[in-house]
Amino acid sequence: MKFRGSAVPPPAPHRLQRSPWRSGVGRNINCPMNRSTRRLLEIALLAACWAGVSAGSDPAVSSAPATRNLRVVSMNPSLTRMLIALDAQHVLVGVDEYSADHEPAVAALPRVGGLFNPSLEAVVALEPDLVVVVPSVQQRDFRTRLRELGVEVIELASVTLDQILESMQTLGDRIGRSEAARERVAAIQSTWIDVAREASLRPRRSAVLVLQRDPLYLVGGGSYLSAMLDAAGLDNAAVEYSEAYPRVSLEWLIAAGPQLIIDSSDDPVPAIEHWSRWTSIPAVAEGRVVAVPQGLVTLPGPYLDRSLRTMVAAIRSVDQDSGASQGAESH
Amino acid sequence: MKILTPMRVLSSLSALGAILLGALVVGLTAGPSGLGVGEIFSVLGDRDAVGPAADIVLRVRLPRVLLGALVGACLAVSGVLFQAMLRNPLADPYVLGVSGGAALGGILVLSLGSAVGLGYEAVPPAAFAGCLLTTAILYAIAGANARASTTSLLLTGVVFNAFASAAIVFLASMAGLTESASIFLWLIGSLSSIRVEVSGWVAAFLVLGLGSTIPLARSLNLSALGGESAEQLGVDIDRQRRIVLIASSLMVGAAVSVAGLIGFVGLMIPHLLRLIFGPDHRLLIPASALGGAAFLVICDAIARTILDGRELPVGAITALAGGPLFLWLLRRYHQRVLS
Amino acid sequence: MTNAALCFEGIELKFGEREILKGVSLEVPEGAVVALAGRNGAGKTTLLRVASRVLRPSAGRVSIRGAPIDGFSRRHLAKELAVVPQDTPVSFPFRVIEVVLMGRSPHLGVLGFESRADIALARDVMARVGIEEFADRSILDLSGGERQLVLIARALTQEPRILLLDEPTAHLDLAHRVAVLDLVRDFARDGRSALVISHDLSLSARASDHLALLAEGRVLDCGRPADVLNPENLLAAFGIRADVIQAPDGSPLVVPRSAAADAMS
Repeated sequence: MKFRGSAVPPPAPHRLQRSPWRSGVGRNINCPMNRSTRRLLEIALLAACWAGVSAGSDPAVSSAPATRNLRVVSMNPSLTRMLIALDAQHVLVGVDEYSADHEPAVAALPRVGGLFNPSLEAVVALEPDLVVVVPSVQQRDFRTRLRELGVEVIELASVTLDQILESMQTLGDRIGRSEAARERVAAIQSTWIDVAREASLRPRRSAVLVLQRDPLYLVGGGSYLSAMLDAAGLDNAAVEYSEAYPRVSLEWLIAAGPQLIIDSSDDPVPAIEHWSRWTSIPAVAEGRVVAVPQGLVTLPGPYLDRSLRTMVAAIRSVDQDSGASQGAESH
Repeated sequence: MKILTPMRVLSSLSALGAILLGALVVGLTAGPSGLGVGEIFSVLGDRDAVGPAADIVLRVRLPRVLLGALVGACLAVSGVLFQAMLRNPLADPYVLGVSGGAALGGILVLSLGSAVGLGYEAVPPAAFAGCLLTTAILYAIAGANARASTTSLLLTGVVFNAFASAAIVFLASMAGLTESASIFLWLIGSLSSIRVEVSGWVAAFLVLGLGSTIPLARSLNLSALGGESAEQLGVDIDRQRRIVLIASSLMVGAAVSVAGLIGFVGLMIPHLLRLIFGPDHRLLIPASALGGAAFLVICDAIARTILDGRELPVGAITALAGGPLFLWLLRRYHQRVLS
Repeated sequence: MTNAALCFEGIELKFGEREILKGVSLEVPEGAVVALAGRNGAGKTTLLRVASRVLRPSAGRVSIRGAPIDGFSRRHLAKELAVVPQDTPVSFPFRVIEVVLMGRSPHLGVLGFESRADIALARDVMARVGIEEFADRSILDLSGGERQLVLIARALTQEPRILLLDEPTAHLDLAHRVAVLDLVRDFARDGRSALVISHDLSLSARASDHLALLAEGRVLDCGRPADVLNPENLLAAFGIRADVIQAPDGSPLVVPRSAAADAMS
């Protein structure tokens, strides 16, 4: 199965863009109407054009019936990105701080707070039909209050791979983008299979994915990122930790001795330089330390297929470098 | 208990020194990596050792254990000095707000530093700068009127701490997730981010602190009778107060700058040692250095091993051990303190 | 300027706007015990603090055997002069022997540990004061009176030439009062001196060579107790009427009249 690329259908064209009225009002000199009647017609047509144009820019008109007048607030950047990927960003009437800061498509939308400080008032003021959240302890009271006020709240988990795919489908179904969601999910799944098949042709290696150096946070077995490592042909050394992002001691890492270190912390000191101290780690000794930008790999969202490809590319680049140096040594 | 003689000082300090040595061994052998004791000692003996064991023992554990000892010593000694200066066995090194100033400086950089290009390396200097500023203000107040100033000092400390807490909460609520984790760790106190380079500074301040206050030990004894009585016995109370304030503030600042707000060490170790060795500062000050060092090293060893492979911050362990111990001490001391 | 053991000349002292001492001149000769009496707030304790240099007068001078105390180092002054304060709150559980040994401090070096001689001296003093049995007890466990005895012992251990006592008998029973005043008399032999603040006028009169009455920040009268303690002085100093009668050995006994009884007569 070939990867087809983004399969989001383009929006239906506005009917009125091809309106005959706009091109030739009052220019047909063969029209037998007198001046005042023509004037009246001009005005009426202009008024109709205005109405038409404004109707044309009404998203409800051109979208599928389920999203007509739907007002959604997103409390999490991964969910915001999902909505954007499903070409449904127009249903958003408010987003959380992080989304507004990091997603240009929604930068102009009203902000409703963040993970630790969601603003009940701001959300309610927007009169949403639906609020989408990621299940979290911090926002539990917030969710309860919203439901009490009669607002629909859907919790969409995005920690494991299965959760992300399921969330995307649920979200797509709810806002009337089921088909788009299905295509996205299928794309991710097919990429996963592709990458896994390619990786099965190579020897497996142990690896860690570092999220933060100090304190040392790694990707544990409970995260979709661990599944990503697995698909890429890597054994996550921290898979024994069932939680998503365990904090471990440097000692543990040295003892675990991974063969590859993927460092996605955003630290001014380059990864290779930072890890070069610990020469007893096989990854460092063999030159297999690779840095990836933090957001690219670690923000769970709709484009996990691209993230996976990026990670694989990074891994292969390191293989090439160290392979070249090993090749040079053998001569 | 006999009168304090040089012999007794020597024998007590030797005993504590042996305990510290034991603690250092525990610190070097404790950890989630399952290294055997024999392996550890062979690595320690071999200067050119390489491999994971060498990295772990020599380059992860050894600096951490040594720095833990230095930080513990600084906290305990400044605890004794603050208790002597404020004439209150329930004082701890954070009561005058020096730690609040340091915390504020450090957390400012932790939460906002990335915006101006400051990485984690800037945290200890910023924290220390906060400590210096607070100390300068306290010094100005203490120097102004030595007699009335214990209360002024305490009130200033309360104000500093309140202000620092509010500012820290504000910064923490604005911080992103990664900064929040760092801020939390800093507030509870952790030895996991120790950079080896700073250990020289902490050692320097500890030596400076001990060197300037051990000669004052006997006059600190006299201060227990009140400032006026001490003065009438020949003590220069103003000079003593100034030296003690600066020395203990610098030690607290050094410790807090690198390890965050580790609690209970500065309060409990002096207490415990006072119960065992008596209140004579000629023994109590050096004993606190050794006792504080040993205590923190052991707490850190526990913090590193109690949850398999994962790390608890050492401040959590000192609080867990310290809380019940402190309550017990309070019961014992209750009637005495109030008389 | 005289060569008196302790001499106050024209001492003036203000606390902010309030004038406490308005020109006190007083001499404590060698070998003498001088009692200092007056109302609460008359400035007695303040005067002692000026002598021990804890407070600085705004005018006037204190000298010891002719030398102004301003020129003394702290240690030197502490060797000359010891103070028994009214009460001292102690914050740490020092034992009695340790507190008494603190008196040796001006004689020790910087890191000096107390020598055997120092310890022997302290024990001797404690025996004389009568607190030897308390030696190993924590000072926090003692009663107010017992603590006072410890402070007296500490001051004596200091081996000063001048002893200043601020109401040393305040918490003591009669037997102990007599004992302490005897101790002070003993001390004043061999060229040493003592200045004792006391509210117990009759007992002080018996124990002291001179008595000074402080009133309104000045010395109202100073001299032999029998001469100073008369109804006019007592009225001026304390504002009460009192009779002064003679004890069999000639020392004056002050018997105050109650205001009510006074009104009736």
